[in-house]
Amino acid sequence: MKFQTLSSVFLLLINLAIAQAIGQHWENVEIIKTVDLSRSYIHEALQLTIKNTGEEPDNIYLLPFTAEVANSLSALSCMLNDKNVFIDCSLTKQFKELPNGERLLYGAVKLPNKLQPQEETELFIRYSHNLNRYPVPSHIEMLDEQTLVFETESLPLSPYPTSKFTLNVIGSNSIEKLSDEANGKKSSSYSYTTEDVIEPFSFETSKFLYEHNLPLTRAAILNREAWVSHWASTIEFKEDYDLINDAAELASGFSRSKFLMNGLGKKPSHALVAIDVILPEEAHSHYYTDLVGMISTAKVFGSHYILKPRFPIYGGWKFNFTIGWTNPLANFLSVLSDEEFIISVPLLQGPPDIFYDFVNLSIYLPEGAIVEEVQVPVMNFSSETSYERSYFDLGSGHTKVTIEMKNLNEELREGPVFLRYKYSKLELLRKPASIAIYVFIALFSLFLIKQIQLVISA
Amino acid sequence: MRQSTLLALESFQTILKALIFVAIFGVAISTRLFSVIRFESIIHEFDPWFNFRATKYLVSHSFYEFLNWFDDRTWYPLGRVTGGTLYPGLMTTSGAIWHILRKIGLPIDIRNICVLLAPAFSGFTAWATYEFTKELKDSSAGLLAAAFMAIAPGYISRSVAGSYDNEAIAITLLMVTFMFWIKAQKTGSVLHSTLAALFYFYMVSAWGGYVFITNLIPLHVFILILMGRYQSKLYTAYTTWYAIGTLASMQIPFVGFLPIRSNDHMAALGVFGLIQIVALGDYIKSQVSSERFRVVMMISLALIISVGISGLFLLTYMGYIAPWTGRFYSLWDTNYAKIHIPIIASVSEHQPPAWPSFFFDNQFLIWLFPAGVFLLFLELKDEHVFVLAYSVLCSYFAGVMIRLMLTLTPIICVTGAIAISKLFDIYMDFSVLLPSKPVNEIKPIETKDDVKESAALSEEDDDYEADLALDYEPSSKARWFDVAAKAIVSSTFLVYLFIFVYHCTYVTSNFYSSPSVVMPSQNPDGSVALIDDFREAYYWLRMNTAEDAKVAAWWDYGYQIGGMADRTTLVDNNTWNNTHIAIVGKAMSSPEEKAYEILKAHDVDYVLVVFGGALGYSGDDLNKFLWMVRISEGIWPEEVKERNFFTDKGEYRVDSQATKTMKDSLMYKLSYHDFPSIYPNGVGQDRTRNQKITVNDVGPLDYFEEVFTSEIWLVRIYKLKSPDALGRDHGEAATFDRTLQSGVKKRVVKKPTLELRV
Repeated sequence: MKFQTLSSVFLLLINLAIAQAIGQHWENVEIIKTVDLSRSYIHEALQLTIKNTGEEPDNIYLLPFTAEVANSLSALSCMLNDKNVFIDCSLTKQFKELPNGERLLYGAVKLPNKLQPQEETELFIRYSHNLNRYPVPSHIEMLDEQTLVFETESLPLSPYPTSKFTLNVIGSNSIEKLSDEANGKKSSSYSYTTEDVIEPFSFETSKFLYEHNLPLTRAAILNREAWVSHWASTIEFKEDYDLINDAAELASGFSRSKFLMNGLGKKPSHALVAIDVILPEEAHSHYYTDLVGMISTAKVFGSHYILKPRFPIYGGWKFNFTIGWTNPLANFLSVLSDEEFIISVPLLQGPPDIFYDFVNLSIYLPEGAIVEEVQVPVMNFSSETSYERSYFDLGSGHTKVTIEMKNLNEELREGPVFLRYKYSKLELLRKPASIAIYVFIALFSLFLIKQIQLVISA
Repeated sequence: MRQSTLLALESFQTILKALIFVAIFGVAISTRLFSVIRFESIIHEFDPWFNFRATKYLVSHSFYEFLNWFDDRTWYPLGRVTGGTLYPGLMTTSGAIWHILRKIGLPIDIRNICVLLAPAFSGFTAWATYEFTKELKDSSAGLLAAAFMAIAPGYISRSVAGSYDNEAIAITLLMVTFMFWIKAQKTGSVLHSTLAALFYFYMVSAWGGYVFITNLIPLHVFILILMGRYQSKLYTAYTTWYAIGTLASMQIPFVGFLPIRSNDHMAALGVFGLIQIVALGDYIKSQVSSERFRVVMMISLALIISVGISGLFLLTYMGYIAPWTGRFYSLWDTNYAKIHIPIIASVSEHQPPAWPSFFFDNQFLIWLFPAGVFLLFLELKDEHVFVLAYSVLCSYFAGVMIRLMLTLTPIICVTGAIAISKLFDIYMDFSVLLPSKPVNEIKPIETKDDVKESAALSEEDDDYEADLALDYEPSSKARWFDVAAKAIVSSTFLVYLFIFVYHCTYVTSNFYSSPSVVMPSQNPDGSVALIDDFREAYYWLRMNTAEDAKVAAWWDYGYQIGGMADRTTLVDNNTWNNTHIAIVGKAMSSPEEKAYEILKAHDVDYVLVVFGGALGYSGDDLNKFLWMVRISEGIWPEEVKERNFFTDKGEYRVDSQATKTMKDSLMYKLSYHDFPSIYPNGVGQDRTRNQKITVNDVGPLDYFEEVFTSEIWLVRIYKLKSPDALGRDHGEAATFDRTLQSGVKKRVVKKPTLELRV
């Protein structure tokens, strides 16, 4: 069973509309692009003032991304600047190839109302990705400060002409534009404005060298499970992380002596030494394990679950672990009727400053529950309902809703997944009854076996 | 009315017995859970990690794939025919449990099944001990024996939660086999001896120690024949057991044709032959006169013995039957291993135990043991001969090899229980206080005994209890004296029992419940912290090295690296190839460049050493280093010499007085690399060996690169440097770099002196 959400329906519609939109005439009156480098992924914000220069009113505005960025695009959102409301926007399947071979994928924004000719509006588009950013030098020593190079388009990549373009780069104490002249000017932000009319599809990139002495945490895979139990009235969470630190690798091996003598375990550096996972309120029964057993170096402070990995994770190093905790069900469940419920499961929990390549969120409903509707706050996901047998599942097994997502970051943490399902009283009682019957059968057959006489009597 | 009282008593006893069994199961399982509560559900020590890995393989593959498993991740580059060289009983058991539980809606993780297998089986061991002892004396002794068995530290040491080793189920199977054997031998029942044979087969599939049963049962039969106690019952029991048991045991790939080729099994075969002859003789005896029979017997005996012995020699000489194994020799000569096979001697569990460990493992049972044996000797029924043979054999073996304490423990529990039960039969009998009722009827209640059985017993036995009771009937003064004496003796023994329970709990909780992978320690604030360096390092290997990376480490850690780090190892705890182990030993004891050459030749990527100096962990590689040297000296006596690792005074030193060979050895450098630098003034304190290591003692490391060291320095991992970019030798390159650094000075020294030209 597949669920189609509103945004995917929108996506289909928009694909049809695009062919026309490319021909339409828009003008970018002003683009202010702000790149924030302070996190382990790149956060970009576009402030657009657009004008309809065509004859007809229109509401589809296109925004191209390079193919790489599009593949790692995360948390794309669009707002009308003055109204402060989110509007529909999405990545489409339409693409264009530039003369230099660069492949562009179109994103589309659908304005709530059609914009009349010569009318202007302001858009605020935000998105993240973790591309075009790499450590330079690629191998450093444990005590060295890490510097990264970030490469971005220094001209707008719009299909429409642009009158004014500003590029701001922020988020580090030392940002330096790498250019042929190598002026070597370092500052805490970089800004550049051009007021020449820029042709559509101008493609030019610049590189920025910046200091970022923090780990670049990335979860290659996160398997997140939520087990809903009506009998225990709890919701149990279990998360499997496959972490990797994308920071610069160690030039010479790891030296415990240097690590110890310089107190690297307690200073911020390019190594990941602790993971601060923020859990929902009232979490209890925490655990922290990996493939070889329990990891004893974790502490709970209120809703913070501070995990120390088995070893400091330097650039290129990997670590995987499993954490779990339990919450009261009432905080997540709303009861519609006697037999109908809505569960809201947070999309992510996880630490701050992390990028997720793949997230599989599985929600396990009690055996016999019937899923009615699934709502996911991100675009480009697939969801599937299946059954999985767990403890004492003697029938079909827990109803399992799996939602597969790509390219998430911690900003989406607040977004809840809503699941409406039916769980009848009969199903609720079926489980203990069936267990009782099986126990009875077992005991009774034991009794029958004992009746068998093995003695051969004369 | 009397009939109904008896019935009520009987049902009361049944309920009481059931309750006692529930309690025994509860105690047996719960005392073994200390390690789970203190630490976690984790596989302990070394060998269990292999068994766990094999079990995981079994549940993810088919049974036939498991039996044909060729493991290319160990003993690189040789590999190991794992399926054919393991006892599959343990893995099959937990695999079966895993499958059954899944079927009934309990998909329990295989690790938890493995961890909890030993405690679960210990309850059954207690039950089998009860049945066994019941056959020897009565059910009250049986209950005591079961209770002892449930908590005896000698058995707990190998069966705590997480010690997922063959012994975990083997002791259960041992006791069940013996129990059925005793029953079969007593009754001549084919059913019981078939069951004994089937459990013997299970035992063969589970543990190499099955040889003990293979020899003990024939020995029992042999002694009985010598004592002239041959009966047709014995013939039925033994031949059934031997035929079925041997055929079944040959189905295990690892055992194969050993039962007819190996000398360990010859006794059973010999007794099988003997009992045929004895049966024939018995038949002839019943047919012919005793005069003639003597002649027939003399001639046939001489013939059989000469044919038998010469046949044995001939077959051994021609190589049809295997020579005695080294481990077997070391059973008879404790110095044998030390001289000839250092690899066996290097294992601590193959050492003879210290005397206190007998007391430590069995507490007061150790001195009740001879008393119990003596009491059985007085009676000396057929089944008591079995206990005597068992006691004598096992006492010797336990004295030679500490790990055989495990097989001694059951019989100590049994005989101890018999001794105490005999004592309680007399001294717990306070029936004199109830003069109105006849003595014999109260007694069963007091001893919690089965009424009918003890009544039957008291008829045929010399009835001490009755005699004593009758003696003291008349005067009331004597009666009170009697009561006081009984009270003192029985209360003394109750106190002993109490102390025993206390001791067992104490020993279990403090000494036998440590997983050894994780070690307990304390935070500065007094809270419990765990030293988890082994898993830290193994996990680092697992996460951050290529999947086909080869890790060289001493064989002790082979199974753990395979299980936790999931990387290919050169040698592991299977120790089947002494030369391969010696290669690693040689690399460790050679200078760096030579070691690099050896390791490179074996495709090694990483070297792992365990260093306890920073923590004071005494089981580290430097303390095992001499065994590495000895083992490799055994193969290359010209290249590795143990003498060179000792100072002139014959001391084993690692500080500034250490010999040059010692300081140059790879093990020394890998252990101490960078270690002194974390201490003020560069003087490191090795807390294991209590010696001071300075920066100058530790030479530079040119061929290896530190890639990881765990938090408390317990495990250190080095990488073999990849070939130099300029094609130089690493040693040369490093020397060149060093001279470059201290450049100018050296150049001045090396300036050629100009000679006067004439």
